[in-house]
Amino acid sequence: MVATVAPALRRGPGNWVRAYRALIVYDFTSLRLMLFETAFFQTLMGAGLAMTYGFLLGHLTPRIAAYVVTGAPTLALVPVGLVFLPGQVSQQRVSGSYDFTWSLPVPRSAAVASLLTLFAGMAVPGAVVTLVLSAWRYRVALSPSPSIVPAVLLVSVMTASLGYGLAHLVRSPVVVNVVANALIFFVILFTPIAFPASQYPSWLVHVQQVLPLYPMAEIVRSGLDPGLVAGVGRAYAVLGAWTVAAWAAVGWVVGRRG
Amino acid sequence: MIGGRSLAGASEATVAAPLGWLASFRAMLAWDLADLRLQLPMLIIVQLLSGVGTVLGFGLFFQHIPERAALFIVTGIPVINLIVIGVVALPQNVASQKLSHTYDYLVSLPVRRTIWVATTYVVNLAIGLPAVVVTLAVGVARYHLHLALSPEIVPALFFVSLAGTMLGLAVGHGVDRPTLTQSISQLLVFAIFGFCPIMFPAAHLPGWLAGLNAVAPFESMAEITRAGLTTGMATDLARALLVVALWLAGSLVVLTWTMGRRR
Repeated sequence: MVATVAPALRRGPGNWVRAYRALIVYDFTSLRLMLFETAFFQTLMGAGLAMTYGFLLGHLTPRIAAYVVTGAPTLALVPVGLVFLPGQVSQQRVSGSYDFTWSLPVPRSAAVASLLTLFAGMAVPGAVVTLVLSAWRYRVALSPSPSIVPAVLLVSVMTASLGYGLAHLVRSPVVVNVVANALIFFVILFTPIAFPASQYPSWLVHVQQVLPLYPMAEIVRSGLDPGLVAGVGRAYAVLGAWTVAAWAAVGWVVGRRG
Repeated sequence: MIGGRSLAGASEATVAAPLGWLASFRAMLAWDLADLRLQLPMLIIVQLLSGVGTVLGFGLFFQHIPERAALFIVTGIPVINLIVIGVVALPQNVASQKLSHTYDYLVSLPVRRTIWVATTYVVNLAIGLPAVVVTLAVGVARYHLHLALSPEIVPALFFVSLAGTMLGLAVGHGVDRPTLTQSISQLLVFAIFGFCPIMFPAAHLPGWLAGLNAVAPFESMAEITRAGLTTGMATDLARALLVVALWLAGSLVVLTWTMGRRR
């Protein structure tokens, strides 16, 4: 008889960091082909919409052009977390690779953090290209401040967290797709991202002020042209609250079994 | 002799005569509607909501929307209602069928190709026409517009929907790779909404883009529809009809060739 010794259970912050780093490499390797497609459609949405507004309106005043240009990066960031990430998770569920990832001997929180990090990071280059193209198209001079960095990171992490929670709360990939596209429709048409809030009905603005999308646009805009935004602190507070709520929802869904 | 039984009686077995075109059309339409019985109401509602949402939302982009801009938007969105189903949703549906391997089964059915096209067209009309009517009504009420409806609007809508359906079928059946079909249809959504002068005048576009749209079918589809809804806004109806007719004919050629070839 040979005595068997059970392997020691790996735990602790060191193990978490090792697992997180390994999962980043694993997720990046499996999603690397998606990077270009994501950046392309992201730029198409952000810069494409910015150009479309010009065609629709015919002539943009300098103030409206500034709003369109400073809103375009938000339009590019939102689809990555709200559409691409839920779509990717749904595809993994259908193909079975989701269950495989979940069965790996790594902390679940590390797996979640890895995916959120990857999608949040993936969103940034497309947003930068969108901003450059839009500013060139409308000849808008921007005054970026250092706050643009945490603003963009917060928006990309927030949308990735929301999208991740959506993908796990809703089992059906078809319903996830419908909800995600409905959200994008709502973002483009009824959220004052590329136009001043004064053009929207006041009741809609009040609703948007407590939802996360309008505050996203505010904090990114304030990082590019502070003169266009008043009360950015409130926007950060609302977005921070939504991020915490999204993480709580994600923590709950990944913590449950089955 | 097979199994002790004479085959002599086989010559007396009756063989059902093939169904006529109309009977086949009715049978295929019943098949399509049964297949879509859960999705059809949802598709109609989605079209309604997207049409109404777009007509209301686009007005928010203007500080004060001029009447001419409102007319372009309100008379343009019905065109998008009709062509998005045919040019975008239809190829994606065919691509999904190819990916799930039901396409080969459908192609093997003993149904004439013209019936397949006809039933697809009827289903597209059923999805798109309610959205057209409601979108126009909401747009007219919201922006206090006065449309100059003429009897030509009826054949115009049917013609535009037919052209959209044929284009979509040509893309869906003509492109062999389903993932490429899906990418093409997604790009077409962006192009139709943002870079085709359907909801705004072509004069707002750069010259090269306006020139490209002059030979593409979408601006012409909008021109044909707008001619039946307004007075004086459709400036070159004859050219628009010719452009769309040529695209329809080209789609028919592609479709005939792709559906007729052996795999």
